[in-house]
Amino acid sequence: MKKNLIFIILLLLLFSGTAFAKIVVQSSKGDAAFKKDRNWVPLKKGMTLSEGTKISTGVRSWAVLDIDGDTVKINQLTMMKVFRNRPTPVEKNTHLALKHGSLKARIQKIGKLKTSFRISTPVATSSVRGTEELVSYGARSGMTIEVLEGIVEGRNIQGSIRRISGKSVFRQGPNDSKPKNLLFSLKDQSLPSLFDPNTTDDEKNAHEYSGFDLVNDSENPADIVENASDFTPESTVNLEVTWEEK
Amino acid sequence: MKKIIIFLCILFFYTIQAYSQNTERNINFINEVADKEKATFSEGVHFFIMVMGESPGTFNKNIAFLNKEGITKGITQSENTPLRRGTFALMMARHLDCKDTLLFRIFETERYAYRACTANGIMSHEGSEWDILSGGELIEIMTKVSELSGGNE
Repeated sequence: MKKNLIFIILLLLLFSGTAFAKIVVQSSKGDAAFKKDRNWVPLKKGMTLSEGTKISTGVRSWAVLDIDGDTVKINQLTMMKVFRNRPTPVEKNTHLALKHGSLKARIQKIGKLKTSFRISTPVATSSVRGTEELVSYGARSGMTIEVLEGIVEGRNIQGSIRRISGKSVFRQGPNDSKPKNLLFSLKDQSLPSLFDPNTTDDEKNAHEYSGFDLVNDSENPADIVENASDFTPESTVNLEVTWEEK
Repeated sequence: MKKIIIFLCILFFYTIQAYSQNTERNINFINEVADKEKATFSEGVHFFIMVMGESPGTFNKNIAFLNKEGITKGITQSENTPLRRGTFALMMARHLDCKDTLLFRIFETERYAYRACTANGIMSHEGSEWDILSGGELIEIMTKVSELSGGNE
């Protein structure tokens, strides 16, 4: 009798993940479909999907999924897969794979329930606990993680980890060994930096952090005033103003 | 009355079926292109028609439409020619009316169209206008173009 009870409990624990798992289509627009056998079937409101489902959206199309209380918006021209969805009464474990396009995820933190929500692309993985994020992947630009609320952790395939919050943005290029400087999005992107082909990623990163401070050739008084924040509170700045009389 | 109801049911059934087939065709096309190492001019044209909110047809029909809109004016490439970044940049610059670049406005060449597209953040500044676009990159660019036209709303 005791053995049977243990066996039943083990069986329940084994299948509890799939029993609680619930992926429901909240809404969709345009060409949004999931793969069933070899065909793409249009998504409809209220549809229930299972772990392992591939979802793809077309131009000017999107779909919103409810994955165990978390909301995921699949933006246009996206291809993704629900890689793992194994919630239990004590833990939520969701893992999405993003092939191309972008996902906007809002993850809910419920009490002491251990939550693991990951989005993986070919170059990196984002991992969040109770937050809102926008993750995108493109063949040329690589993976980008923007945090809308809370804190997100970005980890590339080499194991480099960055904690992202506020206005910092995680960007892992397809051929880069390290993610870009987290504040790169605040820089003026219309002025690209040109590097010698032999420049390493570390050197490029160092240049992005220090900018032109390494070369202090400012002769213009306006530059001195602009850099005044670098001085200590006791610093004295002499300004000479001259007027030309006409 | 009974005949009308049956007719309406059949009509509804065929409309739903046509909608499903159209969705399947579009999604299949996107996923096939995404895996390609080199995108072709025909695929670029097909994508452009989709982003413009039109229903894609044959290559000649698509080109005729884009010529009418002035997007492929002067571009004489065959269907299976690998798609160059410059050619696609020229189509995009015309579609998005990137006339803020003086040199593009004067010369309207692929070179200055590419510069205009990189300055506007639509294309990456790494590489040149002679590079061949991969399928993945084509999708990434079209996503940006569609977003600029309100495609995510």
